[in-house]
Amino acid sequence: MESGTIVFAVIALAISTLNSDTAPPPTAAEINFAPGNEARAVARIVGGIISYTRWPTQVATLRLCVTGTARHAAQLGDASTTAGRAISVQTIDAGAATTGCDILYIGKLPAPVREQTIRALRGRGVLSIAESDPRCRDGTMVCLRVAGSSATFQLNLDAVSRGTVRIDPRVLLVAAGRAS
Amino acid sequence: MSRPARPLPTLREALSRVHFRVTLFAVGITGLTVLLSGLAAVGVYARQNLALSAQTASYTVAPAIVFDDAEAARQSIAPLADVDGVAEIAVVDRAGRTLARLSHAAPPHRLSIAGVAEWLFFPHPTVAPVNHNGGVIGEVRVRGDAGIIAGYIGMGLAGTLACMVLTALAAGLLAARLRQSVIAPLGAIAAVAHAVRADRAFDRRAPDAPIREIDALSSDFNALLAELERWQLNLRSENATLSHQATHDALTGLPNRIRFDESLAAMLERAASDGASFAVLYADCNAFKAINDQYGHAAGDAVLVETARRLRAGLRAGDIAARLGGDEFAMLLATPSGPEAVARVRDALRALMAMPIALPSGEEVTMTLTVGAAVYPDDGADVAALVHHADIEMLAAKPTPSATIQKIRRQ
Repeated sequence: MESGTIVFAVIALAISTLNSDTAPPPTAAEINFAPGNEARAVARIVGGIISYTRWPTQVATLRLCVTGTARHAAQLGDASTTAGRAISVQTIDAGAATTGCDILYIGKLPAPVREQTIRALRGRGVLSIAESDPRCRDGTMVCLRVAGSSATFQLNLDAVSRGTVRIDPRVLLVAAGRAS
Repeated sequence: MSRPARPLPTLREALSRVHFRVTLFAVGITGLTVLLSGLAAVGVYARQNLALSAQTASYTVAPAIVFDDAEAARQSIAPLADVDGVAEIAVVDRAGRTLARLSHAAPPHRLSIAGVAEWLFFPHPTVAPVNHNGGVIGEVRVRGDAGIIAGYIGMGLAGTLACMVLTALAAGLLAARLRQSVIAPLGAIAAVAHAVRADRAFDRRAPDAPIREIDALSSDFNALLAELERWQLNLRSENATLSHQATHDALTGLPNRIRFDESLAAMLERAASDGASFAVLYADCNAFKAINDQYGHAAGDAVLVETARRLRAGLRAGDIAARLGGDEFAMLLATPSGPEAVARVRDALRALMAMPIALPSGEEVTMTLTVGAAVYPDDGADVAALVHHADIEMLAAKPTPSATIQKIRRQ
């Protein structure tokens, strides 16, 4: 597993270097939507990331858990369309155990609860997605940014490398702030 | 019927032309073959390059289509768009919308080399589908850049042309070498043949040649020349013999009447132009017929031979003694000779003829001569006058037949 992480880091670095050569300003993958369609845009982003993610153990249906106060999670069930595989969505209480989750969608949580929840994911095969962590410093792998009429996402490479799920390095190309 | 005015080509020109054509043909065929097979190979590689570029682009660009990110799509294909041989890469999503397009070469003119090469090798863009989750979400279209192939064609044509120029030079050098080894020896043989024909220079010989056939020709030719030379020499000596026989008396070896008449005419001409004098003497053997009758013809011949020898002995080197026929002799005293020269010769002959002549039978006879002389120009200005004068003088001096034979001894 350790060597796989290094390989991933090297590939990520190589691709980011490759891209820094081609000068355009760092922009995010933007899903543009009509006002009021944030949830659909988020579902598509989540589905896309899921399609490029590999779990250490294969399961037929991915279990997506939503915790905290989520504003754009209403249509996450549609993520299976983009992901190309079955997804079951369930809501869990803040601070509750996440053992039955393959994907954890984190809404607004009190800071201590969030930290504890995220710490509990460490070393486990869970894809963590934060809805409201614009600077992406809290330790979730994916941070969504929904502003105005566009939705983007950012990858936290530290978190990705610590986890045991594997995200296709090609996704880095699309992630916001990849060149920063 | 009329031959064209253009001169016939020399052997060297003919050989050079054949060389030139053969090598030009060979170089052209070889160059064309290499060019075509090279083009086929380059075309295969170029198409593989395009397919590989398209597949790579379709792989890297997939997330950009999934997330509908045009900028990311552009960045994914940017490194591939810089690959040599790729003119343009376009990413099209499932709806047919062009998400990104990068091109670094405008389509070439249709009639340029690159345009023709593109038409030949990449008539259509190479298309690779973009897969996601087992389905097709778009495609990558790659248009090939025929610049490299056009460069190859250009280089190939230029190379073939350069080879043809080299070929022309090499053909020239070969022709020069041929000239050394083939044409020069043939030329030498021709020169000898011409010299033999024009100057009858039968002693000339063709030199050895460095090529076996030409050397054989040369030695055969020389052998033929040697034979011709021998024939020529034989002919010349035979001619000399015949000409001597025609102008000389067979018995005594003296010039005959024909030769004497020629000499007299020539002498007269020379004396007339020089204003000099010369003399003609006619000598008749007295009673020669009696010797023939008495001692036989062999004795008569011996007397004639000895008389001729003595006549010759009584003259100077430039003078001529001739036998006109039978027992008649004539002498020509070369210029300048006057009456005193005639007198000296008369005295010398009288002294010489006083000695007896030995016959084959061992007997001896003494022969006397009756001599008549004429001196030019005093006694006559032309041949007829001189001959007439000498004849008259001789007839006047002829003794009676009875007193002519004196038998000295008989064994």
